[in-house]
Amino acid sequence: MNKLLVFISLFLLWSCSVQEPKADRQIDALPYIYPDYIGVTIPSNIAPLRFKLKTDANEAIAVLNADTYNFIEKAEDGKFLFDESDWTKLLSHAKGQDIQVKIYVRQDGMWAAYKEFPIHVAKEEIDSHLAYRLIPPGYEPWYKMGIYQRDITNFEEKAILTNSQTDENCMNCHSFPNQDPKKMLFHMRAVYGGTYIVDGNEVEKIDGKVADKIASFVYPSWHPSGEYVAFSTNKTLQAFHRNDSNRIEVYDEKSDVFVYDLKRHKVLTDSLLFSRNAFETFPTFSPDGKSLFFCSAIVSDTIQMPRDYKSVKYNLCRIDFNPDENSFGTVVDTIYSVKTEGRSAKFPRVSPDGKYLVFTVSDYGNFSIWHHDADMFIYDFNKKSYKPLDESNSNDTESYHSWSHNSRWLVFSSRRDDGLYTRPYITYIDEIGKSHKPFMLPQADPDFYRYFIYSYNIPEFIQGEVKINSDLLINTAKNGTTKQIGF
Amino acid sequence: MRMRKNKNRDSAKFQDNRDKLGKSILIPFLSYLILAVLLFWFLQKYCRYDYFYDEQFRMFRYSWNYAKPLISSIGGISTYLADFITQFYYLPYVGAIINSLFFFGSALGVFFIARKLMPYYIVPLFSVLFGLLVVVVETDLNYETENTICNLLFLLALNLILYAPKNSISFIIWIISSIVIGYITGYFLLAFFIGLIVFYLSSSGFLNFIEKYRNVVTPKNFVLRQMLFCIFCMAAFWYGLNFFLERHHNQSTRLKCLEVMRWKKDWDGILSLPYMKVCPTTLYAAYQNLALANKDVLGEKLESYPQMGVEGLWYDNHGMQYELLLLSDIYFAQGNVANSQMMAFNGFSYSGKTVLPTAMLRLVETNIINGNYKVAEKYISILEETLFYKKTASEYRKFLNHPELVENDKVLGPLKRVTENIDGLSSDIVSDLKLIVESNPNYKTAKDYLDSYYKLSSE
Repeated sequence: MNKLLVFISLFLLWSCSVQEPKADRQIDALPYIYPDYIGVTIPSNIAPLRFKLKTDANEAIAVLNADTYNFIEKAEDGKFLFDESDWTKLLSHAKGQDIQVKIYVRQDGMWAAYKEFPIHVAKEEIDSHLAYRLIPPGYEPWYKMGIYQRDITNFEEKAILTNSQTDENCMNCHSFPNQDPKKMLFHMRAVYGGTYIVDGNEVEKIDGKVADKIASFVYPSWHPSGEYVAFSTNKTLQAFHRNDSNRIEVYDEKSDVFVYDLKRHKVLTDSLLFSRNAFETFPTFSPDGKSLFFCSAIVSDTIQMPRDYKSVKYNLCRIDFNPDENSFGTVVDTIYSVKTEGRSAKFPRVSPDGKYLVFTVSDYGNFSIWHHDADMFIYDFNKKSYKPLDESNSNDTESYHSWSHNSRWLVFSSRRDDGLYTRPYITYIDEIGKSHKPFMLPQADPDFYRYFIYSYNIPEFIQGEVKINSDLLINTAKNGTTKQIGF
Repeated sequence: MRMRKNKNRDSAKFQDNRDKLGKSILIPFLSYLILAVLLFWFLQKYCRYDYFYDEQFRMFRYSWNYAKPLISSIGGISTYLADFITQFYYLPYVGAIINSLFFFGSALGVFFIARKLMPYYIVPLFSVLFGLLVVVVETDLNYETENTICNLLFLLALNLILYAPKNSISFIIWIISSIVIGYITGYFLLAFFIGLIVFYLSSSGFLNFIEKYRNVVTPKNFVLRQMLFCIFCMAAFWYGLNFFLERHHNQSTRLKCLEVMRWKKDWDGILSLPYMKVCPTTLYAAYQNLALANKDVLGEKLESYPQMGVEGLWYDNHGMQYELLLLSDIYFAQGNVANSQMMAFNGFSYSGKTVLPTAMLRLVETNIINGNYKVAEKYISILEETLFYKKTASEYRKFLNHPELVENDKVLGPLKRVTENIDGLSSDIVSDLKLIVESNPNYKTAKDYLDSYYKLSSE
């Protein structure tokens, strides 16, 4: 009797589980899936790459094979919603290898199999969290925005701070030293304006106005010691194209670079960074903290903005920084030259291992998110040469990017999905600096990006969750004292 | 002795009558139903544009990816229900019907609670006032319909707790309703404590105490208290009625009416509004001239309508949402597609929920004209999941990746040609308009706007 019960239970279990169908015919093509995860390289600790089959079928089944482990998933309304625990097991078997994905579709009572495709699983893991700002990709006003964090090993998203808590003001430029979630900074604009520096459970608000020289702190980059932050100060304006695929032109009328000493509350700068004849912007420190990279456009007295917006192009430069003496070098090296290349560089970011520097290049200007021609380039410090990150670039905008702490993963924002809304893509950069096919940050619902009408802005890897209490941030904003800064 | 007997008999008769009246369900039900019908007439007459207007600020989509995050989050179901209900405000009469039902449900709910807790009072006006309060606050754009849903659920739960035949059943209803209402609305603690109070009142000796007290209430003091209460309620009612009648004539209500007519493209409606002529303002003039432009008679009839100078052609943008959306339409009429898109996007983003289906439709049009088909497709897909914008949105699908169809379209084609003939960075509305007219001399509405500008600026 017991045996019969066991047999019946096993039979029922078997009959309820999804079986791999026998294909009546082969389709000589890869399946059309969204997001496109065919041939991408992923880390072994990423959330399930759920996708949707964009071909009509009565039924669809995916078979995922990795080494000795496989699992079969039946599509729900064309969506393959892989279970997190099955996916984690699959990735643990596939580390450093490939997952082979085979899709079967049933059409007119017949099963057909698409060509199998691989998902490469790298040996190196990725930082567990991603911080970003969600904002409508608008022109001038804003209403709802916030800085969020996503645990990318699963689908959990949490708000770090939203502007519904701060009178609908603007908040931007969140930044972390060495991908450390315990330390961060960001700015608030308009109401409660200032720069907020978080260190553990302490928050300091500093005034962005320094004498007559600095109106506000803008693009930040932490020194690896965590004791300095390089900032640019920009007088940024925008204009609107009457008829251009780049809807908006954001330009600077003035910009300079300086370093803020967190301990002494002093600003350090140099005439080479704070020049009247150049727009210096986008500073970033090298991982050893001895170099400061920045972008600089030489501007003559005849330049008039926005009239001459197309003629302003930025070089990628480097200058020594000596944190012991709080001093800068006397020579500026040019890594990417407008004279030789004819285009404009921005957003330099050095890999934490110090081997590579990724930057964005577009035809002109500095606000590349609105430039469809913007692409990422990688500079090899050993070879002293750069090349475009072809495997990660697309026909549309690639702009802001940041490295994981192990230098193997690069997250970047791209508008390739629909031409307007920025989405985070992650690419694997191997030992020789080659980028692999990137994947769009997976979501619980594969259709998520099709309906989501906010842009992912400034994606930054962090090695854990930001735990600062948002009430503390709000209280500092509303009731805290503002630290004044001097030279 | 006989007198005392008569008095006792009168009192008993009075209490009998009052008990009968109190226990009758039909009378309050019918009374509130009649009031709801009268209220419907009133709301339809005075508030119909409030409902049309509210509808734009929510978007109910018939899709799982929209429903799932709402249903699976605490308090999300009330938003889901509020979105579902509000979508029907798109239809004529439905806003007034739904709000009359809100009144009916709220008033009846309060009535039955009051009847149980205060059986020695018959408090129809109190419950009427409560129902009316719900209707009044519903006309405020900043008020969330989620609160009305929450209120109705509370009333239902409290009635179930009070009228349960046994204490044990009341207890179960209290616990279950606290959890269910807490999940639906997010007000766990409120549901728990209000339920607790009502449960305590219904299960303790309080109701028995009331029953005893009821016997000492005489016809005289009953009538006196009831009259005082009625006077208070009638005063409040009168105040509420005046509030409604006054707000009917205020700027905000008129603006809602103009906005609704603008996005319904009811240009004749705008031109026939009496206050446009009686007390013209630059804002009204901007709507009026937009209506004339869309009827293609701005040049011919400019001077037949009251004008308020150049500002009446394009109302100054102070960053208000209605200004942005109005300007989007004005730019669109002038053939300035880029600026129309900018204003529509700004107006659309201004809304906390980033919905505004009519602004989204405008973004579909501008993106199709500019050849940004992927973004247009995104907005079309979203609108196709709605009940009332699905058809219109689907009609734009044929233009995706087909510039030749756009070229031949009566509305989009001319705008595409105008756009292709201009370039550079936009400066101000007049410079852009001059450029459009210079590059497209046959584009009549732009020319009409520019001629009107010259006429009005020379006056």
